[in-house]
Amino acid sequence: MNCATCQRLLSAYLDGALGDRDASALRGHLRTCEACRAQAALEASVIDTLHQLPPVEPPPGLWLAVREQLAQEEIADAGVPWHRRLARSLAPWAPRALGGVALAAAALALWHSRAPEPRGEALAIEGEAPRAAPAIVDVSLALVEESSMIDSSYRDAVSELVALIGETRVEWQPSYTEKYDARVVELRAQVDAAASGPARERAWQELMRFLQATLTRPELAMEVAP
Amino acid sequence: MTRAALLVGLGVWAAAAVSAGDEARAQPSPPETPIPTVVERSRLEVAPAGRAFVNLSVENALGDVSIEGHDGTALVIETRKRAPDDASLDRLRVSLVPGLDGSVRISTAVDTTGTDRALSKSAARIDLVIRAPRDLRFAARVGSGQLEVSGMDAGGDVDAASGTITMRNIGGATNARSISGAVTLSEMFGPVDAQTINAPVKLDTIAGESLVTSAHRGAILARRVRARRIELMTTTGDVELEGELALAGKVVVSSLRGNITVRLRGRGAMAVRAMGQKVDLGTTKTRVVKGVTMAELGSGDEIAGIDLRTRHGVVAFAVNF
Repeated sequence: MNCATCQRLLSAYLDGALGDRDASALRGHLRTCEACRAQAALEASVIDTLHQLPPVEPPPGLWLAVREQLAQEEIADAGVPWHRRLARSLAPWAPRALGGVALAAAALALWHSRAPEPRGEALAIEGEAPRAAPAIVDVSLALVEESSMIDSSYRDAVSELVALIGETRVEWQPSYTEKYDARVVELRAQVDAAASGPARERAWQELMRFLQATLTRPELAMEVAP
Repeated sequence: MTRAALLVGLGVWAAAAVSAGDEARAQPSPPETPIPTVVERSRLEVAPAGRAFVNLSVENALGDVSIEGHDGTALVIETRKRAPDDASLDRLRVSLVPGLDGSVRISTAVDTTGTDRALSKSAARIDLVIRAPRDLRFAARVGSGQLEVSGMDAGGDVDAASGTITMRNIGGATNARSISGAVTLSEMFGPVDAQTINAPVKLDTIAGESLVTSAHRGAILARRVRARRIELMTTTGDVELEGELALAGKVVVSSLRGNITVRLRGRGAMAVRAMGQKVDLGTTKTRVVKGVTMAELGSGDEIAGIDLRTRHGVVAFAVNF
C-alpha cells in the first residue's frame, strides 16, 4: 500500500468501515509511514471533535440553490465547442507527461552511472522498532475514556478554583482559613469515597459549588466574614 | 536502434506508466469507499402492570435522548440504532428493566464479547425517543448526545458530559448538570438547580421557589425569572438576569471575572449591595461602605435582599417598580 491509497482509505478505516484485509494492509502502512500516521492521528481527533459538535440544520433553500448552480454550469458547458472541451480534459495530464519523461531520463542516467546496490529492507528503520499504528478505539473503550474525562474535567476545574482561592486566602482570618480547609477536606473525602458515576459527580459538584462560592462571595459561603 | 531512440521510447513508456498510475489514484474516493450504514428502528410500548410508573431512569452514552410527557399511562420507547454493518449493529444493546416499585430503567450498552473488529464511537449510535406519563419523575444521562425533556410535571435530574441539555415545560424540582454542553431551560415551574463547568446556561421563564445556577467557564443568561431565592454564580462568564423580585426575596449574583447585569421588576422594599470594578445601581441614593455600594429602594416591611458582586467585572442594576 502506498501513501495515496492509505489517504483514500483512511476515513473508512477510522469509521470502522474497512474490510479486515484492507484494514490490515493500512495498519501495516501506518506502522512504517510517519506522515500517514500523523495524518491518521489528526483525522481521528477531528472525527471525535466533530462528533461532539451540535448538529447544524442547513437553511431550507440551500439544496435548491446548489442544484440551480449546477444546472447553470451544465448549460454553460453545453455551449463550449468540442475542441475546447478536449483541450480542457487533456490539460491536467500535460505536466504529468513531462514529469514522466524527465523521470525516465533521470532513471536512465542513474542506471548508466551507478552500479546496482544490494537491496535491503526498505521499510525497516535501523535501531527503531515499528511504531504501533493508531488503531481504532473501540466504542466500549471510548465510553470508558469518556467517563474518566468527566472525572478529569471536575478535577481540573477544582484545581483551578483552589489555585484562584490561594491568591486571596492570605488575606483571610486564621479561623476562616481553618474552617475553609476543614470543609475542603470533608468534601474531597466525599469525592474519594464515592464510586465512579453519578455519586462521584454529585460529590464533585458539591465541592465545585463550595469553591466557587468561597471565591466569589466568601462570607456567604460559610456565613462568616473571611 | 540508436541510443537516442531508446531514450525517447523509454521516456514515452515512463510517461504512460506514470499517467496510468495517477489515473488509478485520481478516482474520486467517495464512490469507491462508501461508508456503509445500517439503521434499525424499533418501537416498544410498555403498559404498567398493576402499579403505575413513578420513576424513569434513562442512560445513553451512545447518542441522543428525548423524553416527552404525555397524558397516558404507558411508556413508548422508540429506538434508532446506527452502525456500519449488521455485526456491529448487533453489538448495540438497549435494555429495559421494570422494577416492582414502579420504576423503569432504560439503558444502552455495547456488547464486548465475541468481537473481532473494533467499532469506532463515531460510527455507532443509539438514539432514544421516549414518551412517558407526564407525572413520573425522570433521571437521564447522556455523554456527547443531546438530551431533551419536555412536558413533564414531576421534575427530574439530567446529566450530560459534552452533550447539550434542553428542557422545556417542566414542573417539579429539576437538576441539570453538564460538563461542556450548553444547558437551556425554559418554562420551568418548580425549583431549578443547574450547573456547568465549561458551558453557558440559558434560562427563560422560570417560576419556582428557587433558582440556583452556577457555571465555571460560561455565561448565565436568565430571562423572565420569578423565584423567591435566586443564586447565580460564575467564575469567568457574564451574568444577565431579568425577572421579577418576590416580596422578601433574595437575589445573589456573583462572579470572579464576569460582568453582572440585573434588571428587576419589583414591589416592596429592597436592600441592594454591590461590589465591582464599577457599580451602577440606577439611583443616586447610594452610599459606599468599605468598598460596598449600598442602596435602599422602595418601601414596605418585607425587605428583599439583593447582593451583586464581581471582583474584576462591572455591576449594572436597574429596578422598575
